[in-house]
Amino acid sequence: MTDGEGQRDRRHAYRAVGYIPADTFLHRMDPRTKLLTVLAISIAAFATISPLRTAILFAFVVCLAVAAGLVRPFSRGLLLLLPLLVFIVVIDIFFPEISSGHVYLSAQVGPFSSVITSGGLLYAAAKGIRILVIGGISFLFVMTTSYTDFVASLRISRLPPVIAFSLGYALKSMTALADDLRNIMDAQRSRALEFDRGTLIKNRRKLMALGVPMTVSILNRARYVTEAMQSRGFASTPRPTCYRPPRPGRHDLLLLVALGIVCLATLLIPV
Amino acid sequence: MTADPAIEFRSVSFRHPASRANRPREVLAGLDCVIGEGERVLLTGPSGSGKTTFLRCCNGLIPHARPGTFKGDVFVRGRNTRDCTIGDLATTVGMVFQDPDHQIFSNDVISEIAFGPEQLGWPPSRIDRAVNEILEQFRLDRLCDRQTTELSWGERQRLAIASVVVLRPAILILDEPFSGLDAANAAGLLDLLERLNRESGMTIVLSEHRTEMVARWASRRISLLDGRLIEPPVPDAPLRDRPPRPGAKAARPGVVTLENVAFRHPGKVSPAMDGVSLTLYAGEATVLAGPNGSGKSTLLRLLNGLLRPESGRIVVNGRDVRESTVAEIARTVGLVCQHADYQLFGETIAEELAFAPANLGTPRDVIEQRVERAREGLGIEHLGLTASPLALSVGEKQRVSIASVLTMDTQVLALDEPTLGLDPAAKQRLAGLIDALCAHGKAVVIATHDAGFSAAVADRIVRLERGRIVDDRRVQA
Repeated sequence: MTDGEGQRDRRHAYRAVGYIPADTFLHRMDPRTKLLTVLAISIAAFATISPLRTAILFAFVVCLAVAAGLVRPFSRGLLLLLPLLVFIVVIDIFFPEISSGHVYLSAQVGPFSSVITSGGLLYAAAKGIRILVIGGISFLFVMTTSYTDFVASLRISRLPPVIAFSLGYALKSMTALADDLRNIMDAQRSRALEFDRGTLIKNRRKLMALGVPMTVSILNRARYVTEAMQSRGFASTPRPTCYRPPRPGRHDLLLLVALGIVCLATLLIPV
Repeated sequence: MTADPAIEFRSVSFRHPASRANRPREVLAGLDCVIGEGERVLLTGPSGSGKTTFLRCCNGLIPHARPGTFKGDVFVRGRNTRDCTIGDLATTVGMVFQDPDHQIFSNDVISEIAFGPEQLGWPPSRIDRAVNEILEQFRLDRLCDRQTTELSWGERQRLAIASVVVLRPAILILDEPFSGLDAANAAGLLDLLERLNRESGMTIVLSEHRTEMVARWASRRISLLDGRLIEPPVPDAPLRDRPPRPGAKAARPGVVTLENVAFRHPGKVSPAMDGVSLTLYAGEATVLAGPNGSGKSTLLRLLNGLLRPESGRIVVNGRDVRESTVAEIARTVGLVCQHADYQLFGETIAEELAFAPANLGTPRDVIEQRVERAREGLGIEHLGLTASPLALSVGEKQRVSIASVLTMDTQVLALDEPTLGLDPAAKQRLAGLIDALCAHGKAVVIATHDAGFSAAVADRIVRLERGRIVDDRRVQA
């Protein structure tokens, strides 16, 4: 891959964690339905240590991405999880929380003892898939939920405006920060800083060159937006109007039914 | 001046709080000023003179939202801002910030406009009427289906103003609204402000460095210097047009060549660059002109390899950029990006200026010489070397940012909107520096909307529209 191609791929990756404007059935749904789905799927994923059950949950998440036509950005998002996934799975294979079944390897390296068992391997696989499930459903939520809709749904749920806007702003920031990160990297690369060579951890300057402008950008953005909101009357009345509240529709009902079936299936399927 | 003051400053002083990186500084110093109803006020002054602080005092952000020591009183239509919240003043004073991206936070145009009325608890039917009226008044109806992130800078600026004017404030405050706007959008904005003032008697106060187009529109000018009013107000000296260097092209070789270059941003349908062919010559200052979104910044990023062409070829010093990394191209092409805040991170100015040449492995003594030359060229010696670049004013940050690329001593210098936040004196200094670089055989390419600055530096003006070169001419002797 040339330097240019690598750069292009990274640009795609940064955008993968942000909102993608489109008109899919997921975009049209009430954000509360999607939030409930994220919570239910995450709880279900944490509640099981079976690779089969977590795989069913993952298949459900993939089906949602396919049905919404978001396969490509969804895959890019999952790729971002790869380093974490590899790290967790490798640790769990060599130093498992659960050891059962056939023992493939048992070794003592200094103070560490490592046992690779069939049960441990299955558990490591389940934990790996769990990361994909929770990461995947969260990415779908972020990709399909606009800040405006999210805040409106929180407000009609009678959440205090300050909390509703803070949560909404956190969601919006994911897109904004991805753009900022790209601009900051471009500015530093223009000054001959090579992010691709060496490791970030070993090079304090590279961390500073990214971290300081990112921090400044986050703080400035938060301050400017706060001032802009205050200047337009934010929190000046106890009951602000919700001009275009989201309304749950047929798709919300369908998703909730499908969610119920999948959650039941993960409970009932024997391990 | 009318009898009823819209805004009145009585002995107003403001001092920022001290911090490790920022010495306490009196930004406004015992200011007395009266602005009458219906006036069109142009607020001018060099960078750091207190213009933004002045504007923030008008809608209560100071003293309510900004930390610091505030003395004196500001009255807005007879109400002391100390006794009102910022929200209370929202229907009296509308504030438009310098960068529309810092103000717009909704995903779509209608939600953005409706935000203020929602916060004031207007019933939905009233919000409907207000939104529709403002969409028509600001000609934003055709943008209703677009995401705010998809709008051009000019469209975002119009939306930012519309979302404030929807509350029908009696006073409108704008902080450098013309910076970043191309000529057509700037003229459109001026026309809009004129209509608001004429049709509804709105008092308008705006600060601006690009005064050439606003000066005639304003009914009054207020000049600030070190937080004090200057009486009588001082008009800005226009930038001196630089006489063309005869035979610049003939005597010098081409340094960068673009051959039929095409580029499309990911996810976009229309190309950002569409068959662009261009040669940049040593000893020549080339200005890239054209409306917002015409491809100027994209072209600069293609020059130093941050973006790679989909088709066509870019040759820098005889080598195709496809064969080089950005760091390798940076030895020849130095790019100063648009926002200084994205670049600055050093603990001291010295560290910031030495960063890029150190990345190229330049010896320490050579770096020190270049740092001195860059500081002198941009007039930032007074800032010292130990101050934090993060604690500087916008204009000072911009100059440090330019200096930090100058120290790479590249054969080509690319500047993306370098005059944002610069006062006329700083612009004149930058123009002189570009002149000196060209005299030393460097090729300089500048993307700018600033027509005055363009006239002061350009040997050649290349006009882009929708990713194509529509005009390429040399400035005639």
